[in-house]
This record gives sequence, structure tokens and C-alpha cells, in this order.
Amino acid sequence: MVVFVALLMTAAVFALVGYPLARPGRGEGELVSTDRREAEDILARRDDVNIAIEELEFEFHLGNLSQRDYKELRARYRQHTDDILRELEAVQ
Amino acid sequence: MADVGYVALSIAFVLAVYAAIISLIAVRSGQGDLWLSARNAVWAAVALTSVASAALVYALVTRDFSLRYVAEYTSRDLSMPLTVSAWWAGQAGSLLLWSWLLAVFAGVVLIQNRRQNKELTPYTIAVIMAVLAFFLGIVIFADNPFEKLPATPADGLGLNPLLQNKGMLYHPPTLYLGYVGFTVPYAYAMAALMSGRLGNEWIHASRRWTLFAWVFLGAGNLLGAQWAYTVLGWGGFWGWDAVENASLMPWLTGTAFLHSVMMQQRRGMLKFWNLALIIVTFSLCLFGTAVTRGGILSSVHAFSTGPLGWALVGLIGAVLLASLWLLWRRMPALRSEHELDSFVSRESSFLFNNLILVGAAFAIFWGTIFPWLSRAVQAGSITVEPAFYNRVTGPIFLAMIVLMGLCPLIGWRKASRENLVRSALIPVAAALAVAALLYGQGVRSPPALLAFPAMAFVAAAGLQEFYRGVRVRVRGHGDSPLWALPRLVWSNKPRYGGQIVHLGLILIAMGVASYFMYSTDASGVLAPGESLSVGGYELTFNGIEQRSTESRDIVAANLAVTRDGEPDGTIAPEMVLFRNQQSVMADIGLRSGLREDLYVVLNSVGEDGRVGIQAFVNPLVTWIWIGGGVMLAGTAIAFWPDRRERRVALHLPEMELRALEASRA
Repeated sequence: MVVFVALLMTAAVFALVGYPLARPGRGEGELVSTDRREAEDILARRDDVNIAIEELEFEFHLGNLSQRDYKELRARYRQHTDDILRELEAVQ
Repeated sequence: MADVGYVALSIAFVLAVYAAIISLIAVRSGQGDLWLSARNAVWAAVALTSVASAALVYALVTRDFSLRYVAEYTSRDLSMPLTVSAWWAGQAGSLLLWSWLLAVFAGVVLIQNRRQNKELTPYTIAVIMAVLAFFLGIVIFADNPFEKLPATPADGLGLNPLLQNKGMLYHPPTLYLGYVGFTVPYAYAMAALMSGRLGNEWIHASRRWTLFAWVFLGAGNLLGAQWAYTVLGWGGFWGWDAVENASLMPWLTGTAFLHSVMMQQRRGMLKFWNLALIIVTFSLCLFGTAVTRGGILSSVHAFSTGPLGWALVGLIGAVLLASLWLLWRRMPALRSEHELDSFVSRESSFLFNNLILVGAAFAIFWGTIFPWLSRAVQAGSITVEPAFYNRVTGPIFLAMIVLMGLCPLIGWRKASRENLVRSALIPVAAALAVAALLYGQGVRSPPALLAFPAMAFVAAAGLQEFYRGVRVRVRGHGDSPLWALPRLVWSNKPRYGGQIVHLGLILIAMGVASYFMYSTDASGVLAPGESLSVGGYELTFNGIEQRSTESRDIVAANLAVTRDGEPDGTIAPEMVLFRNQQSVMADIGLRSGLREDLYVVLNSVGEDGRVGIQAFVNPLVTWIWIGGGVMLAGTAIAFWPDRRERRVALHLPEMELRALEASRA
């Protein structure tokens, strides 16, 4: 009985693990291409900057930042966003 | 069934090795079919480790004493819940638990990354599977839970009496969820190093895993402390034992990592720190497993001795070597994108936070391994007493508490002096008020006059943060005051979940500081009618009661309690003889309240009817457990998906992707 179950498990494992190798082509697109990677990186950085701007606004309204610091930092983040958009246009 | 379990483990071991190697080959060569095959191997490993775990649990609940493991850790009179908990009572079973959890976590990683992190995931899986292969190898070749006895005994030896407690049901698995959980952020970090994708991708991917592992490791520590408090009978909850230290250290460095990654996300800073912190945290998790299960350091907790400890030390060495080599290779890419704008900024407070937490972990590590080191160089070993840890970590934790209060008051990049003064006004006033109150009550101890005002400072700063946020929502968003607070928390779950965690930590600190500074105790031998006084209580011995169960003989001392002269019920500490193991244990009498605990231990029962009693009055200890619950709630909030994360996860919507690909075709 144990031998039978062991053989059954082994056969199932072989089938599961070997199937993608026996039917090539199904794995296309499973690993990211360089083109997608570049655009993904840029968009991820854009999202991070947008979150940082949101938090900056919130910190200012909470009273943790002075008007002067808030304006200076917002200008820096906006510049950063412009740079990222230019990178994105270059990729596209 | 047991043989099926062993076969399943053996196949799982082969699959883990296969998946580790093939994942790496697949991602380096860009062969998607190989990656599919490796992924299926992971799923097969999940299934097979589950089969093996089920086989062991089946053997335990059916009391299959033909297996050595079942005979060593269970007996016919053991309750069913404790019988199931024997899964992690011994080394072999707990290694199987480690392996099963890790396999399941690998499966979860695959599910989470069905449509994202396609370059990181194969590397991550390779690392996880390599660690899984190690643990499965130990189980199969060195410590097999399915090993059979030459002859089947009629009954087992039973569970260690110290472990026959409900704490056995939740303390070890909670700790294991933490230890094993930290494998995943570590694997993501190695994936980042191997792939060269050293931006925020791996941080985003591992954030929730870090929270998960951190909260379970913290909860495991607290549950262990509570178990020790209610069982061991010495009136305390933390003895700076090697195993306790080994689970605290990764929690400290994990805390540093949890905070430090925010710097990388916000400002592209501390990249090297973050990688180093998770490497150290994972290594300390392995060290914790080695200390608990491998017996390389002597401890009341260490459950076994043998070669496992040294095998784990070997794994730690390999992990450190490989990780540090990868880190060294990528050094040029790990430079910070920005510099510190100001010494008084949230960035610098995070850096100090890292230094403080790592410093505390280092001090504890040094104290933990010192006895072993001293044994290696001289005859006999030098014991490091709890007083060393208290003296060294006390000021460090005080500094951490102050930083916890300061950080929310300071903005990112810089804090102007006027803003800082305005923000700190109320918290400082709260601290001074508490200091004045304590001084007025006659408190003169410098640690007390520093610690409690510091806690008041943090609590006030935290509550002020909530108040200001509510005010912004009422004025800026038009929320009603009733709904503003829940909406505030829900609109920024990581931030406000974190604040709730901080408040929970303050409650714990309050309980711990009160215990260490103001706990009192008294002991005596009492004849019937005689009394013992301690901390405002009088305990009068009324007599002995004896009873027996199927496996135990119990002697209880009945004590009438009087508080400040008024009758206040009774308390009955016990001594329990476990007949199977011929072992005697004290079962304490505990009365817990928000203000203090009355904790009574029956130390001896004389033939003349006199009893030896020790009684403690421990102030504010209950707040430690309440604080743990608050921390858990805060972490659950921080863990919940946030709208910001959904935006990051979907940062490449299908339409944009198709447009990009069309333009490239």
C-alpha cells in the first residue's frame, strides 16, 4: 500500500513538474522583458513621488511644516515629477 | 500513514532543491517554461509537506506509539489539544512545522506575484526553496519524526509538565510564524541584490510580510512572557534567558527594518542599511531556532541538544557569507539618492532609531553568547546575570521611547525651530506634569522620574497626532467629529496603524517599568491561622486541600486575603505532582487587576501542616498584555491594503502596457 502511494505521488510530481517542459511555449511572457521593466520602473517612481506629495500636503495641514519649508519641498517634488514624466515620454 | 509522510518529505526535499536551482536558471536565461516547471515544483512541495504534517498529526491523535516521536512526547492521558501541540514539542516535529510553514509561504508568494514583480519572484522563490531544502534535509537525514521504535510501548512518556499549559497551544506556533515569516523579506532582499533591482520594488513586495513576521514574533515574545509569568512561579515574566533573548533580538532589528524602509521609499536613503538589517534579522531568526532547538546555549527553554544547533550555525555562516558578498558587489548602486537636509528631521530620527535598536540587539547578543565564549577559553563559564541586561538596555529603551515621541513632531527633510517648539509644547507639558506628580508623591528614583514622564511625552505626542489629523478632516474634508477619527485612520492605515502600535508599546513599557521598579514580595512559613503581609495585602493561611485526577495529585493552600484591612476573598496556590513523569510543579495563585497583580506561590508543604509561601504584588503588569493587544490591533490596521498600495501595484495598467508594446513593435 505504501509503495503504491509512493509511486502515485512520484508520478503526480513528475507530471506536474514535467508538463511545462513537455509542452514548450506556455511560459512565454512569464518573465518580464526589458521594455516593460523600464516603463514599470518609471511609473513606480512616479507613484512614489505622488504619495510623497500627498504626505507633504498632509504634514503641512497637520502643522509639522512651516509655510516656507512646505513651498520649498513641494517645488522640489514637482520638479521631480516633471523629470519623471520626461523620462516616460522618452521611453514611449 | 507514517511511511507515506516520510516518502512525501523525501520527494518534497528533491522538489525544493529542483525549484531552487531551476528558478535561478530560468530567470537568468529568460526561459519561461523552466520557470513554470519550478513554480509547479513549489506547489508540489506545498502539497507534500502538508501530507507529511497531516501524517504526523494523525499519528499523534491516534496515539501511534510505534513512532518514537509520538511515544516521547504524548501519553494516553494527555488532552487532545495538548496532544496536537506535541507537533512542535520536540525538535523533529518543530522542524517539520518550520518546513511546512515555509512551503506554504512560498505558495503565497507565488499567488501574490501572479501579475507583478515578475523579475524578482524567481529569485525570491529560489532563496526560499534553498532554505526549505536545508530544513527538509535535516528532517530526513538527521531527525526524522516518523522514525519507528523496535517495539511499540503500551503508553508514551507524556509531555513535559512545564509544557502542559494552554500556552503550549499558541506560544510556539506564534513564534514560528515570526521566525519563518522573516525568510520572505530576506528572500526579496536577496532577489533585489541578485537581479540588480535595488529600487523600492522589493520593499513594496516585502512590506506586508515584514509586518506579518514582526507582529507574530512580538506576539510570540509576549505570549511566552505571559506563560512564564503564570507558570514558572518566580513572580516575573522575563528572565533574560538565552532563548528569550534569541527571540527578542530579531524583533528589535526587524523593528529597525520596518521603520528604515520608509526612508528608502520616501527619500531613496538608507538602502544599504535596509539590506543589512534584513540580513541580520533573518540570521538572528536562524540563531533563535538554533538556540531553542539546537541547544548550543544552555537555557531553561532549550528543548534538545544535538548536531542541529551546529548545522544551523553553519547555515547562518553560509547566509551571512553569501548575503554580504552580494551586498558588497552592489555597493555602488546603493548610494543614497539624497543627503540629510537637517540634523533635526524625521530622516535623522529614523537613522538614530536604527542605531538604538541595533545597539540594543548587539548588547543582548553579546550578553547571550558570552557564557559560551567564556567556556571556550577557560574552564567553567561566566554567567551573565539579568542585572547586566537591565542596566545596559534600560537607557537604550528609554532613548527609543523618547525618539518614538519626537519623530511624529518633526517633518520630513527638516523641522524649523518654531514648528518643533509649537508641536512639542503639549507633550513636554504632559511629561513635566507627570514628573511633578511623581515627585509630589515622594518618588525620588531617577529612573522613575525619567521613564514615566518620557512615556507621558510619547502618549501625548501620539494623541496630539490623532487630534490634529481629526481637526484637518473636520475643517478640510467637512467630516463630522464622530466620523473624522475612523476616517482619518482608514485614509492612512500605515501611518495611524503605526501610531496605535506606538501607544500599545507605551502601555507595555509602563507595565514593565512599574514591575521592575515597584514590585514587592515577601515569603514565610505559615501554620494554620498565621498571616503574611505584602504590599498592602495580608494573607492568612486557613488550611490544605488535597485532590487527585487521572494523572495528577494536587495540594492547594487556602489563603484568606485582606486588603487594607478589608476582606477581599481567597486565593489558593497549588503544588501539582505529575505521576507519569514523577515531577512536581507549582501552580500559582494569581489575581490580576488593572492596578496590580497579587501573585502567590506555594513553595513547600511540611508534614506538620505548615506551608512555605512566597507572595508578590506586581503593579500594572496587566497593562503589558493589554498593550500587546493594542499593538496587535495597530498592526492589523497597518497591514490592511491601503489605496496607495493599490495604486502602486497597478502602476502599469493593461492599456498603458499595450500602448507601450505597440509603439515598440
